[in-house]
Amino acid sequence: MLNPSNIIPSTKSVVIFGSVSSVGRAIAHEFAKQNYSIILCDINQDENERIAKDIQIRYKVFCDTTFFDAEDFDRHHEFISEITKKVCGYPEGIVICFGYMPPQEEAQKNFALVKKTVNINYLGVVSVLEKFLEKFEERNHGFIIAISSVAGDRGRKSNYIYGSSKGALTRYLEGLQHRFARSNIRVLIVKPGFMDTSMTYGMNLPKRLIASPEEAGRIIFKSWQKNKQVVYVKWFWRYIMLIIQHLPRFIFLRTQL
Amino acid sequence: MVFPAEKKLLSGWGRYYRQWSYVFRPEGWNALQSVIKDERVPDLIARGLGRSYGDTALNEGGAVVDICRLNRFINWDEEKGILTCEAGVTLKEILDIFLPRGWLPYVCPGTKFITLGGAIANDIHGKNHHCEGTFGKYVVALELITPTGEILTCSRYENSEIFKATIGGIGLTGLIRTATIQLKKVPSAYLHIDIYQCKNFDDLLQTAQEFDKKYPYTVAWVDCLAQKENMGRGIVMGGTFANPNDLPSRLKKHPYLQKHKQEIKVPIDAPSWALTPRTVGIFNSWYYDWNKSRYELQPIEKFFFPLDRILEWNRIYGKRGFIQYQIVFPKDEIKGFKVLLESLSSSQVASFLAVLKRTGPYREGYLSFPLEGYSLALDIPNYPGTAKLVEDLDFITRRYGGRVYLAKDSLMKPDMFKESYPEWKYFAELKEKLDPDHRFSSSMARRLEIVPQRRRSPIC
Ligand SMILES: Cc1cc2nc3c(=O)[nH]c(=O)nc-3n(C[C@H](O)[C@H](O)[C@H](O)COP(=O)(O)OP(=O)(O)OC[C@H]3O[C@@H](n4cnc5c(N)ncnc54)[C@H](O)[C@@H]3O)c2cc1C
Ligand SMILES: NC(=O)c1ccc[n+]([C@@H]2O[C@H](COP(=O)([O-])OP(=O)(O)OC[C@H]3O[C@@H](n4cnc5c(N)ncnc54)[C@H](OP(=O)(O)O)[C@@H]3O)[C@@H](O)[C@H]2O)c1
Repeated sequence: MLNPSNIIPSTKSVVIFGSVSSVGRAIAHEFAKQNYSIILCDINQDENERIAKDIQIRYKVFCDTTFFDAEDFDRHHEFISEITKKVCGYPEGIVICFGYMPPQEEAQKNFALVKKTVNINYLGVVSVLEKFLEKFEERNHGFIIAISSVAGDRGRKSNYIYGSSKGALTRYLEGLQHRFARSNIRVLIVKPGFMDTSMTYGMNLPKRLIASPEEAGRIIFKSWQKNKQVVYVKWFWRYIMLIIQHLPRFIFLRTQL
Repeated sequence: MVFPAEKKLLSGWGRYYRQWSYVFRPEGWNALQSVIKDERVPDLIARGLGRSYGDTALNEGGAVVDICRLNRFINWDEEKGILTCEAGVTLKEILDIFLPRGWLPYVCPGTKFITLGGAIANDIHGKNHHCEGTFGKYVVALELITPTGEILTCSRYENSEIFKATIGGIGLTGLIRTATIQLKKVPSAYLHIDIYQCKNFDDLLQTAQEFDKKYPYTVAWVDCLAQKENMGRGIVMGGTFANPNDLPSRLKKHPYLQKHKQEIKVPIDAPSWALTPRTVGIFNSWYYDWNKSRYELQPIEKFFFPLDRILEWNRIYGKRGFIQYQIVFPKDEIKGFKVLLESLSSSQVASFLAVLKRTGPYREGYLSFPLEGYSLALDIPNYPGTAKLVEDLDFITRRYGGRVYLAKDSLMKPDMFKESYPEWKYFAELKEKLDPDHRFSSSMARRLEIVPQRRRSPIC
């Protein structure tokens, strides 16, 4: 019965990569509320297991975990088979939440950090997704929700190493949208502005611009339900980024963004 | 690894103090444990949802550990109703998940916006204290990260002394990581409520006593502004859980279903002229008249958490904040109670209805609040005479052998604390052994001289 590759799984199932991030957890809760079976993949197995048990208790759904290191490309095929065993087939959809943001100034001096950033934020995502996509395409069904960032919309001096890796990710996801435009596979690109997570804690960001992880989870889930292609979290970031992207270069170069 | 902290201006629910500190917000167990060893901060204290009114969850110039992101359920035994979860789980979450399955925490305070850690550290009581005791009674075990970074499992059988000190220990014994509690099976989410309007204080006391014999849940509201023959008038309420059969037909099949009413949020700090004895007096009279004696069916939400529908209601006291004053008198010192009411009524403090509750003898920890007797809680807006008024009230309380609730206190003096909480000595002894370097400290602990003043200078 394992791995019946060309049938749509009978129960709805979703795999969440980077599930220990508070946004990943919040998205998992949204799916659990809709009775999805859930697989949580993260590099931090202890926390991941606690998050899974919590979801089982709260929502009485199937929830399992797998250890996953985005940088360990060579082993990605292994846990793909592990996942397909766990949900008896390929999942209906995939959510990508993991990410890494190095301190900009350190990254400028230390190439290892740049490599790590690109490995996790870009290559890791591509490596994982491509392994599922072939199957999705074959059965003409599935969805992808991936968290990129507004930082990828225009390179800024305060954050361009991280920003460029997210920029590449956005381009890649746009490519997928194009590839699947005529099929039954949906790709949702999420571009958060500021979210109140461990990635940004301690930065004293302006309160009004920040979304709580639960809020972000709800917004992302709703956008997915509504078949959106791109969602900014929160909505006003679309307009903030519109302005930043269209600032004429001679003005932009003088800003402190 | 060093985890980032944010410099924040914090206050308790009464917003009487505003103090700077460095706030950590761990999202996992490694981060939680590493905070204790963080060399940058002189000392630290845990903080839940900040629903204590005074300074128990404040630590001016030191570190505060916001525990709210650690809110995962760890284990649930459906048969026995035993729940293990992280200390940041809120009462609201427990109700949302477990009430539909027929389970409720034994002890619920007047709000569901509190954490499990806060409920334990203040050994809170509810409307059923006279029958079922405090929250601590239903704590089966807890995991404590001690000031030296060790992880101890504490229960009545294992590390029982530390268990006893931690319950009601206002966060001073360490960080509670998880706790296991016994829930109570309830037949529905509704209670039969008996409401009785009382003309004056004697009437009120007598009814309260009667109700305590009849009902597992009781509470009374007193109009502290009423004078002369009306002094001490109020409303007594008693409740018992309703069986599904007693519910209206649309609820018989769904006895745990409650209609969610939309919350209202207080949008701004009210200006200082809005609350005067006159405006508050009008409200109190209206509330008194409105609550005619009757029987009624009420959902849990309404009976237990009437204030929760108004989010951020503490803002109606304006920018200057307020003091919540809660005391308990031993049962044979009822006279003290009367003296206190007289003094309140004559000073005409603009206080909304005060809450009167007959308390039973049960308390779990060394620093737990309840005594067998009568407890009264009221809000006192912060105006220039407030500190003096509270001092006078403290004087009366002390004279009649009463004590002030630490979860509410902002102004008590150390000598009064030590006199009215005689078991503090055992607590202090144990604390000294557990925490010789005074790693855990709070603004309250220093104010009440439970922990000595700092030798290291504050960091902000
Ligand atoms: C509207 C309202 C009604 C209330 N009604 C009642 C009532 O009926 N009965 C009653 O008893 N109380 C009542 N209270 C008080 C409230 O229940 C207590 O103050 C409770 O402790 C608040 O919990 P919290 O999560 O907000 O804790 P906080 O206020 O944040 O912290 C309280 C204490 O717990 C400690 N603490 C928190 N988490 C931990 C942890 N993980 N490990 C160690 N220590 C920890 C803190 O250091 C602090 O000393 C009421 C409060 C409000 C606002
Ligand atoms: N917070 C914001 O303001 C913001 C804004 C825009 C976009 N985003 C994006 O939102 C997503 C969620 O981030 P977050 O804010 O929730 O931050 P986060 O808590 O740091 O989440 C990132 C998660 O990715 C995991 N991870 C890191 N390296 C990994 C690896 N090699 N393999 C597998 N997992 C790895 C992390 O695990 P560990 O904790 O164990 O390292 C962590 O759980 C990220 O893609 C981030 O770039 C965030």
